[in-house]
Amino acid sequence: MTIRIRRASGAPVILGNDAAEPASKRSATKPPAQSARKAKPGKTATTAKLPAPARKAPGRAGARAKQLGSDRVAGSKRARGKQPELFAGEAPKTPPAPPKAEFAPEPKKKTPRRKKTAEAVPAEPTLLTDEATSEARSTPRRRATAESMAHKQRDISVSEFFMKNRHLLGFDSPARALLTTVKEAIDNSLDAAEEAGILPSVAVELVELAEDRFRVVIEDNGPGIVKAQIPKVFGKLLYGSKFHRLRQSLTSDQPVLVERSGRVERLPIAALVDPLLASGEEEANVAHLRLRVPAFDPESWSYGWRPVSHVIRHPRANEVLEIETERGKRVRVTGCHSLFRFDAETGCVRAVEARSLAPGDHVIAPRNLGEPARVRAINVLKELASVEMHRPGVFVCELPPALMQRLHEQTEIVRRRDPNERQRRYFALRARDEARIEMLDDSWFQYVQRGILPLSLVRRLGIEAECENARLRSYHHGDALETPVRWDLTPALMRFLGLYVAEGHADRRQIAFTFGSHENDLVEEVTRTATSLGFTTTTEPRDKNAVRVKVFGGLLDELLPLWCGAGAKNKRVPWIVFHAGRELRQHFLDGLYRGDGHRVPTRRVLMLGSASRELIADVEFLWLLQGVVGARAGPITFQGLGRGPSVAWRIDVHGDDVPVLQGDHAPLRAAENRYRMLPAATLTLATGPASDRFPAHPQAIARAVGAGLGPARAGKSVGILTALRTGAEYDMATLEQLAGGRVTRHLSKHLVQLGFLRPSGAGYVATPKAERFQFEMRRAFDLANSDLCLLKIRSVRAVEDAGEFVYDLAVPGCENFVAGEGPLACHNSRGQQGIGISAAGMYGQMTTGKPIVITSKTGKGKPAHHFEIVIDTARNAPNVVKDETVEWEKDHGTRVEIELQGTYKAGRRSVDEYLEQVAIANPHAEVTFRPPKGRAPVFVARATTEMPREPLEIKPHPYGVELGMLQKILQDTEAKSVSAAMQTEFSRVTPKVAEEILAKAKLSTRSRTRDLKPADIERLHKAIPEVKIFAPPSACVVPIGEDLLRKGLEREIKAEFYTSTTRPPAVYRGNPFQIEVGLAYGGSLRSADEGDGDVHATGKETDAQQGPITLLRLANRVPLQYQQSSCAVFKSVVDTNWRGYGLAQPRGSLPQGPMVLIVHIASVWVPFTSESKEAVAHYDEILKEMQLALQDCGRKLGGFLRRREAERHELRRRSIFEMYIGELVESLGKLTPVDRAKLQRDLAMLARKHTGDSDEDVAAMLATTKRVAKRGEELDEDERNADVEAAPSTRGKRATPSRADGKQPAGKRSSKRGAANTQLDLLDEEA
Amino acid sequence: MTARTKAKSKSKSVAARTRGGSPEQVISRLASLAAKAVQEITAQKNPSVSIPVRTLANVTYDPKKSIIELGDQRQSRALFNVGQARKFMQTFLIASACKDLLDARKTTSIRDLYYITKHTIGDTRQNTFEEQEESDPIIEDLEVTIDSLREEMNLFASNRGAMVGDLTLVDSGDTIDLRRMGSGGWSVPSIVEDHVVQFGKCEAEMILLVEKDAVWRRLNEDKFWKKYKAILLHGQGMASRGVRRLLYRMVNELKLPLYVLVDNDPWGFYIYSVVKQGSINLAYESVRMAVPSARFVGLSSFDAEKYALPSNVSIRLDETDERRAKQMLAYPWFERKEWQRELQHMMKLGVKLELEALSSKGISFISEEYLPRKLRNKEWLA
Repeated sequence: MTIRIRRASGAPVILGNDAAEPASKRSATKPPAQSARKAKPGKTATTAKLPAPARKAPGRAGARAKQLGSDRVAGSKRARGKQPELFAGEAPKTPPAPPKAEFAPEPKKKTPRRKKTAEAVPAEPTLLTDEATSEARSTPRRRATAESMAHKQRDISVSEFFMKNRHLLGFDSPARALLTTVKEAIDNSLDAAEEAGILPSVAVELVELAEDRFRVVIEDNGPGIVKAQIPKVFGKLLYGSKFHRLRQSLTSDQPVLVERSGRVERLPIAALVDPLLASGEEEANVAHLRLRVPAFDPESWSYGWRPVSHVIRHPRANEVLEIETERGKRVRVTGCHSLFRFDAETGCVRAVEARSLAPGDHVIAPRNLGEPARVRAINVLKELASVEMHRPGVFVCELPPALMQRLHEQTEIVRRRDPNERQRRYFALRARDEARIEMLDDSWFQYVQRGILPLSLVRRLGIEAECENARLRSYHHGDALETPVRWDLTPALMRFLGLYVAEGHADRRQIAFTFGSHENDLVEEVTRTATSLGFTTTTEPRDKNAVRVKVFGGLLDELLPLWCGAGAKNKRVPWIVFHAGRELRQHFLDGLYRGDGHRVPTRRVLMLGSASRELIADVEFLWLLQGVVGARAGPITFQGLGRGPSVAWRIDVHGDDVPVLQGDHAPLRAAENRYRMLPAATLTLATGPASDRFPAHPQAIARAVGAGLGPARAGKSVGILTALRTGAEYDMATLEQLAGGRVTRHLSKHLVQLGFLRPSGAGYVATPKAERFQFEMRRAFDLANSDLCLLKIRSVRAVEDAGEFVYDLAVPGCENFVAGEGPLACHNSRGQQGIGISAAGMYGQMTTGKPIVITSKTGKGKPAHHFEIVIDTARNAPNVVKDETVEWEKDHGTRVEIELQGTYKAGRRSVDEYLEQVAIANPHAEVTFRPPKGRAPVFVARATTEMPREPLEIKPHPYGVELGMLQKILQDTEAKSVSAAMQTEFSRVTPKVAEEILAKAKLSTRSRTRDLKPADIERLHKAIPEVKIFAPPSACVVPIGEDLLRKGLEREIKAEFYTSTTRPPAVYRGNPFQIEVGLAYGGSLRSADEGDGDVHATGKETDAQQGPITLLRLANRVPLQYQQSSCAVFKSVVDTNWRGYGLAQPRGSLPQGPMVLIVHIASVWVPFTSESKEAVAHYDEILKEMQLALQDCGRKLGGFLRRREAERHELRRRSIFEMYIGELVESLGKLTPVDRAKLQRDLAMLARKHTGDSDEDVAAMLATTKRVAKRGEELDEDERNADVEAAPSTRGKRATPSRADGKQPAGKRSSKRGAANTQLDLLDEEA
Repeated sequence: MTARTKAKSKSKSVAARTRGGSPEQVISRLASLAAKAVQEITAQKNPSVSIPVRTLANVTYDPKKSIIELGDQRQSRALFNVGQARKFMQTFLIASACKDLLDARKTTSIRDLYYITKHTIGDTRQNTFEEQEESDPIIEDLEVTIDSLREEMNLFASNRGAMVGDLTLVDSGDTIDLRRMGSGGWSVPSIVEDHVVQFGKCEAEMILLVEKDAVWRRLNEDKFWKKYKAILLHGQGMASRGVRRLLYRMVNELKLPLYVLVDNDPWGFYIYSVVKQGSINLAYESVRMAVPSARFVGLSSFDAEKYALPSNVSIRLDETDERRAKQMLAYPWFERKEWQRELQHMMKLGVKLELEALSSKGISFISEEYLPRKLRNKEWLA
């Protein structure tokens, strides 16, 4: 598509003799100076003397200087973008002022990226090839200096950052450094594995190399890291690397919508991605290309064009499915690729794997794509710049004198003899490809004086942009026709284009429209528009019922086929139409439908058929931009007038939503667009298949759920249903008030039957179902007003020949894009790799000088890469010491080895403890730990094979947003209007909500963000709480889950009793969060400050002596280790009254006893008190939720303790008896002759009989009676000793020697101790 | 009216059948109790002892005999019962100690027995008995259970009460002339059975039991017993078992009338009632202790007016007094109109009078005026 105009570097070019230009090799690879020298061997180049004093082209140099300057700014900006805010201060504050240039080329470039190119091809904005770019990168010296400066700036900040902020990163002490290293590596491993959908299995090994020196080895079974990424991930501090996920992707042929270089295109994904990836490369960061795709915000459900961060391509590993929905939309995806589904229960949009979809399900499709970049005018020359054409006799006139002046100053004067040996003087200019264009002096003077240039010269010089205000002159039969170079997009032009697409074709030097002979109005319209553009037309009849309008002049015959395609089968919609804005687009559609459209009034359908599949797809897309979902049909084969069968495609749009069309295509009233209607599947209350779709209208919704017996009564039902509050009582009078009319007994009975009310005394009580109805109604309105629609799946079909590669795009924030024939929303997301691991590597390197060793394998049959990497601290870049391919038995995974200086210690805040907590928080993970110093390895098997749900990113909820934050958001937003800003920056803000907020704040709905004054923002801030906004969705937080949390506890902690609670999600400051609490009590549990000695802590009265419980805090499944006492978790635990649940609790401190308590907060944004992220801030909402969860667990614990107390009572009985047996035998023996031994045995048996214990127990009991009694006395001392001897160690292997027989179950085990304790009880009682 | 004849009545009173238990008999009864328990244990039954219930519920007042008798309710004391296990063990512990005592033909005090049987169980910190209050009821339980009096088990309590009067008696072989006992009198031993105490020459015509030793001292000093031919004794408050048994023997063997001089308060009335009808706790011994003919000579609720005692000598009834008075109103043995009147009048006045209050009328008012007048005018209650 892209054609470069090639130039001979040395050949003289004679003006007006374009045809003579010989093709030659590209000169661009040579530095300009050199080519200039080569160009004129033996000849002298002098500067031009006429008409202005010649100078040695300072403009170019100046321009370059400027580019360097701006490049550096751009470079540092990028760098800054990647860095956290901490760096902001250290980046250059102000860009250097660009040097002034007299003839600066176009001051504003479309994209900064372009600036590099501009050096080689100064004024050419649209074309760019790889060569040009790479050449630009590798050239001049000054540029290198600037770049190195930029680098330097970055380095200083990184190394300084690390040195100064070691404590923030967790490397402030040797012990902590070891822990942090393990922590970072584990977090990464878990994240990567989870994201790839692999059940994580992580092994940690600490090898003690010397005193205070360890090798940390962490091996996981994650997806591995692609070779190219390895050095960056591990060898570059602050590198935001990402793991790709294995479950993705579209087949190569799937069309995607993408806007690049400011133009919307619809092209196969492979065509988009392939050129961006090197062979074998799996993904690339393309953020700098500024690609944008339509993506919906998972919160507001609004579509917008959002930047693509990465393109991804990888070998296909899964089956490919073709999902076809109603109305002919289909997409081919891998089975594991996600589409979206509406979950009626929660009212959320959820990503679902394609393979889990079945016909009848509804998937999300866009109903309204956001507005692409707006184009208001078009430069015809620029449009055609890339088209190779030869068009003599066309001139660009009315050129600005300034331009001519500049050009003249750039000319060099060349003298040379012509073929007739006459001395001639030529003016030479440099073309944009650095070729030389020479013009005879006469001609040149004429151009300069008249402000005119031949079209071909303009094109060669690449000054199309500067000609924007000029006119294009062509000749038709000797008459000069002039048309502006710049065409403003007008309704007339749009209709003209529409008509052309429908009815036009291009011939040589003319275009023609063919209309029916009755379509005089169209003939007239086309003629009018053509004339207004400066063209001339002729109208001639064709056959008997056709008229042809021919339009001559300008470059129409080149332009329109370029835009609209040549030939009926290749017709397309001109790209500018997409960018023209809603109204103008509608005019285009008007034109198009006037030409080719077909209206079926009976069905209220507007049809458009075409032989061009592309055109139909374009129109479908166009309608989507208008907010209308078209139905696509085709291919339709029919026997037309031609020889062979014709193939056609069709697109239909329905109903009322199709905006104003003129003439007889005007409104199709009284029908609603089917896609504005909602499937009944979106309502959980929907009663039957009466209608599978219903409009988002209260009465219709009421009818869908079975309320309302007729049109009139539905209104009453709605009145009632929308006002009911669960649990409130309503009498007939109130109901009538709510209904706004008489409520018959029949109606109220009907509502009772439907379950919205239940009778209570004389009146009724509302059931929760009524609020459910209100929820569903709001949801339906949200959905109806969103940019989404739901399409029913018609078929899911496996595709055999699906190609080798599959493709994906990453859209940060939204993680979806549209793809497929008739676009559907496709899901994608990528994880973010933290900075930690490279920081750990850097720490290791700084303390030991050893490289990080990485082995990684991305899949079975793929090579395992073994890297040794040193971080070049000066450059903050990886330095690969070793790079080889090795054999690795694992299918996939990563192994990281870091040697570092550290201290290994057991106990609190140790690696052991950290791993233990990780295991609790991640029951799906398998953890192996090989501690140093010859200690036994620990293996924790996974407790579940269920993967945690994937979190959804959301925006802040407006409730609870602080004023300052609101200010910042409104400042930083890209949205222009306040309303749009509210909608795009916050979750759950619909246009209606935004409108309400603005109204409450007394701001106009059209207010612009940049006009907002502080007072306005304050009013806005105050208005927000006054408007009812739906609570943020909870899909964004991922709890561990009640069961899994308990399983995690059971797996890690040996206790008598476990329980857990997961609270429903709640919101603080607009951020959803969810609290979970898990609790393990009793058994062999030690309490916080105790060792793992043989302490059976079971006695209630001994609990108090055991010191505080162990409190574990988790935030988003990451254990928090420091700053316990300033954490909200700590506070909520302290504030809970544990005495009520049977635990001792000194005032203002943790409860005491053998208990491990886990509190997990899952939140989009965990409010940490400080940078070190170790303590959760005290928000009331969070504290409250925590307390509720704690109380719930506490109640369960209390129940358990009471039950256990009852069991103990039983034990106590037995111990009483056994205590007196000895005495009794003695007394009886004295009173009557008896075999004392036998008596003792008999009594023991009796005792067993009366306390229901096993023989062994009784025997053991009798045998130990004395010992137990003794222990009872010494108990206190034992425990004191235990306290003193406290030797912390892993809890997992705390098998105590006395229970080594392992035969007795946990409950029984405590009995010995229980007996001892109960004796004490008894004494107390009887004393 | 001997105890024996009473025992023949329909009452299955325990004491009635166990008269005259010799040490051998008692030993065999103890052994059979143990044998029964062993038998039950061997049969894998919960060993138990059946003990007559010693509470108000199991006490009947026989208006004919005018004594309180123990009913035939029994409670079972089992080993395998958390609440009873300890007492079960203690019962046999006491039993075995008594057997030892009987075997050795020695007597000992109940306090002594407490010390004999008190020891730590095994190696625990727990004792067989923690206090004497724990062991005393067990002894009483054992008494009723094996139908043997504690005296028959060679157990005695500490001496309480003193006696002077126109009587000579033999105590453990020593002849005691109660006319020559000085100011202290003869201390009444705990065991006054006829093998210990035998009566000799008696010139007295009445017996006067005084509640308090202070009043007794006054009467002794004033030689009231000489003047009025009386046997004068006191029980230091509630009359002990020894005093009551002695009273019973004297009334029945010497055929003397018994007068009781107590305070005008519920407690005083109760002392009189115990002497007269027997106590709830020791209902099983009523037949050999109760003196239904005992006469109440003072201090009546109406005496304050009658003798114009100054109002400042009266003491307000406290809560305990009122409660007790109310209880007594309900006792069948206080059913009689005179007693109801007494109690009700006391409650109406809301005050009680001690015997010492009479001293406000003169130091010997009681011995020289009050008592002679009451006895002379037969102003007693029965």
